[in-house]
Amino acid sequence: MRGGVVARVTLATVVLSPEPLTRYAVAREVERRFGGDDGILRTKRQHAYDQVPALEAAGLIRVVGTTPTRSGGEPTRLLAATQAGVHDWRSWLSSPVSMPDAMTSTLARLHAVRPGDFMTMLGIVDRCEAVLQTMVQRADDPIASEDVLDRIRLVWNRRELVAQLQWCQHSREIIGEAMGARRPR
Amino acid sequence: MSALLSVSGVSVRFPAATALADVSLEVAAGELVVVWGPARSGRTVLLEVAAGVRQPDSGTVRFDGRPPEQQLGRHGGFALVQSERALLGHAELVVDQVAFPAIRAMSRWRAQAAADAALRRCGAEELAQQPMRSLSHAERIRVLLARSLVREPRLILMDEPTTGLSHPESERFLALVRSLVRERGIAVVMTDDAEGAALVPGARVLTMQRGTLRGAGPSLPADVIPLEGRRAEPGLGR
Repeated sequence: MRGGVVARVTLATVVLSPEPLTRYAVAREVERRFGGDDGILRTKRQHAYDQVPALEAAGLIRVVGTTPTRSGGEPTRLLAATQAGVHDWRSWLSSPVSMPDAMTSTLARLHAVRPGDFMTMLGIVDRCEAVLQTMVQRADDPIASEDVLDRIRLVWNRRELVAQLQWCQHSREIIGEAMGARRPR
Repeated sequence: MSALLSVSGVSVRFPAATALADVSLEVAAGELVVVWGPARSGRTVLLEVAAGVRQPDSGTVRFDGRPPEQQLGRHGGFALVQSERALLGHAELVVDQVAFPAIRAMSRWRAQAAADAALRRCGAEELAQQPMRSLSHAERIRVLLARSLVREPRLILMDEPTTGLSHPESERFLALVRSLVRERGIAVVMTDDAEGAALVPGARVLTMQRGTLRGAGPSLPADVIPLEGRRAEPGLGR
C-alpha cells in the first residue's frame, strides 16, 4: 500500500473494528486512537477522512452496506476491510521498522494491534530494538569531531538511542506481565 | 568468516532465577561487540561462561574450535578483564601487575619489556612505576587492559569497563578499545550497564534482558475476527 502512517492506521482502524463503520466514524476513531494533542501521530480527523477513498480505490476496504442519515438524505455507506486489506495490515505489523521516526512507527503499530495480541506486540518491540541496534552501529562518532557543539549533539543522539533501547526493554516487561496476568492459573 | 568465539545454546540456572536462557553468540576476529542491558540481566554470567570460568548447565562454548578454559590467558588466546579479579596484592607496582601474565612464559626481562609496550599502547606508560593502590579508577581500567594485552590475545572479554568513569574518561577509553580492534584486529566483547556509555559507533550491539540475548525476530500477528464473522449492523465506532 502507498501512503504514510496515517493511511496505515486508518486501514488498521477499519480492520480492527468488529462492525462496519461510516467514513466519518473511521476518521473519528483514528483521531481518538492515534491523534489529538497528546496522541502518537497528532493527526486530525480530516487526515484520516481523506485517506478513506484511496484505501477503497486500492481494494483494501469496501462498502458492505448503508445506514440512513439523521437528515433523511442519501444513506451513508458502511465500510469494512477486504481480505487484501487484512493481509496488508498484517504485513505492515510484521514488517521491519525503519528510520527515521522508528519510535512513532512502533507506537502506531502497537496501537494498531488487536487487543490482547501480545505476541505481535512483542514482535514489534523486537523489530524496533533491532533498528535501534543498527542505528548505534551506524551512528557518528562523538569523539571524531573537533567541533564542540557537534560533539554535544552526537552525545545527545546516543543518549536518545539508549533511552529508546531502555524503552524497548521496559515495554517487553509490561507486555510480559500482561501475558502472565492473562494465563489461566 | 568463521567465528573466533562461538557460544551455542548456553543456559545457566541459579536456584532463584535463570541467568542465561539458551543464549547463542558468535564473534568473528576483529569484531567489536557490546552486550548492553540492565543489572541482573545476565551480562556478566555470559562473559564468565564465554571465558570458561563458569560452566553452563547446557550448551557449548568454543574459542577457535577449542574449549575456552584451554585458551584463557594463553599467548594468542583470549583475556578476561574484570575490574578486581586476578590481581596481585595492591602493593605491587603497575609494571609488575601488567607483566604478571607473561612471567611464566618468558624471561622476566622480556615480560617487563612486553608490559612496557602494553602500557605504552594504552597510554599509561607514566604509571609503570606507581603502586596499584595509587591509581584512579580510570587509570586502573587502562592498566587492566594493558595487562590483558601482554599475551597478545585475539579476543578480549571486558566486564563493564566504563562503569564509574566520567563521560570524557569513558570516551577516551572506548577510543582506545576501538583503535585496538581497528589496528590490531583484536576482537572485543564488552558488557555495558544501563547508562549505555559503551554503545559506540561501529560496535555490534546486542541487548540482554532476563538472560535472553536479543536481536530482531519476525513474528506474524494473530488472526483478526474473520470478515464473515462480523455483524452486519451499522456501527459508529464508539
